Amino acid sequence: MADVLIPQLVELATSEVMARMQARFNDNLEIVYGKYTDAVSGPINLPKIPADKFYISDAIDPLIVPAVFVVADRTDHDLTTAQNVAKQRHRMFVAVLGYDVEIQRLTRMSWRYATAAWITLHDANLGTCHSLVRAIDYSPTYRSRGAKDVSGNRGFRKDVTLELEVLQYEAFQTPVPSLLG
Amino acid sequence: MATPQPELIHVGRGDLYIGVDVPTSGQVVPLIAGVPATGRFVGSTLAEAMWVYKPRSFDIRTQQSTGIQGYVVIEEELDLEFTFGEISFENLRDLMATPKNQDTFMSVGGLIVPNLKSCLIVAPRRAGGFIQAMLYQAFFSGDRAWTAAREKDSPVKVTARAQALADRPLGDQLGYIHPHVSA
Repeated sequence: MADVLIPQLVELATSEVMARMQARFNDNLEIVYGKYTDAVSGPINLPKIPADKFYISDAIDPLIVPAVFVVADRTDHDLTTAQNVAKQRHRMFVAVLGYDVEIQRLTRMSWRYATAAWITLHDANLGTCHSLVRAIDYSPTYRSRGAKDVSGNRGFRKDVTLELEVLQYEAFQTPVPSLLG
Repeated sequence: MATPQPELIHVGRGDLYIGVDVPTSGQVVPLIAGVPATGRFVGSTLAEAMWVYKPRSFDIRTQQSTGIQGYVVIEEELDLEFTFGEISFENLRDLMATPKNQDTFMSVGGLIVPNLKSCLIVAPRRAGGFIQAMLYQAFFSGDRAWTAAREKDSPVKVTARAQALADRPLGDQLGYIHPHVSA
C-alpha cells in the first residue's frame, strides 16, 4: 500500500502551523518590538521562543516560558463541494504563554505576542493549508506555583490564544483502489 | 416479489477527463486501474458533475382523439456540467470557449470558432467498477467566473455542450453513458 496516496489530515495541518510559527514567529516578534518606541508603552522585552518550546498539547505545563501550544480542536470535512479532494476545515488554537514579574508589562507583552502570531498565521499559505485567524482570546493573568523564568525568578503568567480557521486541501489516490472492480 | 438492488443507487464523485480519444461506435473508453489511457485529468472538482441529456419532442395529435398519438424527438442536447477547482494553464486552455493560447496564459476576445474537445466522467460505483459518461466533442459554453475571496475557494463552473459527430451512426453522434465499466 506504500504507493497509495492517503491524506494526512489534522496531523499534517498541525505540523504546517507549527512549522510556520517556528520559522517566522521570532522574526515577526522583532518587527513588532521595533514598532513600540514611545515613552508610554515603550519597548518591552519580548523573549524569543526556541523551537523546542512548541507543543501540540495544552496538557503540558512547561517549566520554562515563553512557550507555544498548537492544539487541534475539531475538523469538519466538506462533503458538499469537494468531489475528489480531501477538503477540511480545522479549528485550531495557538496559544503563546508568557511570563513576567510585573503584570502591566506582562499584559502588553502578551498583546505583542498576539500581534506577532497574527502576522505569522493570518491569511497564510502553509502548504496544504491556508490559515486564517478568527479570534484572539486574552487569558486572565495568573500565578503558577512552580513558574519561573530562565533566571529562576518567580512571577506571573498570561497567555494569548489565537483561534484559527485552517482550510486544508489534500489529494488522495484517484480512484481509491478499494473501489476498483 | 421484486427485490430492489440498492447497491446500484449511485453515491459518489465523478472524475473529469478532457481530450480522451473517442472510441469507435459500440465501444467505450477502456480504463486502466480506473483511468483512461488518453486525455487529461482536470483535477480537483468542487461541485457535482452532471451528464445531462435533454431531448425536445413534438407531440403528434389528431382531430379524432384527445390523447397524444405519438412523439417525435426534434432536438437533442447533451451537456456535461462540472466545476473545476485547479486554476492551471491546462484547465484554462482546455475549458474556455474561444481562448487564444499565449503559451503560458490564455487571452480572449475576437475569436468565433470554439474550442472542441471530448469530455469523460468516470465515477466509481458502490458495487465496484465505474460508470462512464462521455461527450464525443464539446463546446465549453457559459460564463467563466473566477473569484478571489478570503475564506473560500474558487470554483469555476463549466457547461460542456456536445456537438454532433455527423460521421458516426445515428443514435451515437453526441455521447454515451455506460452503467458499469470494469477497470
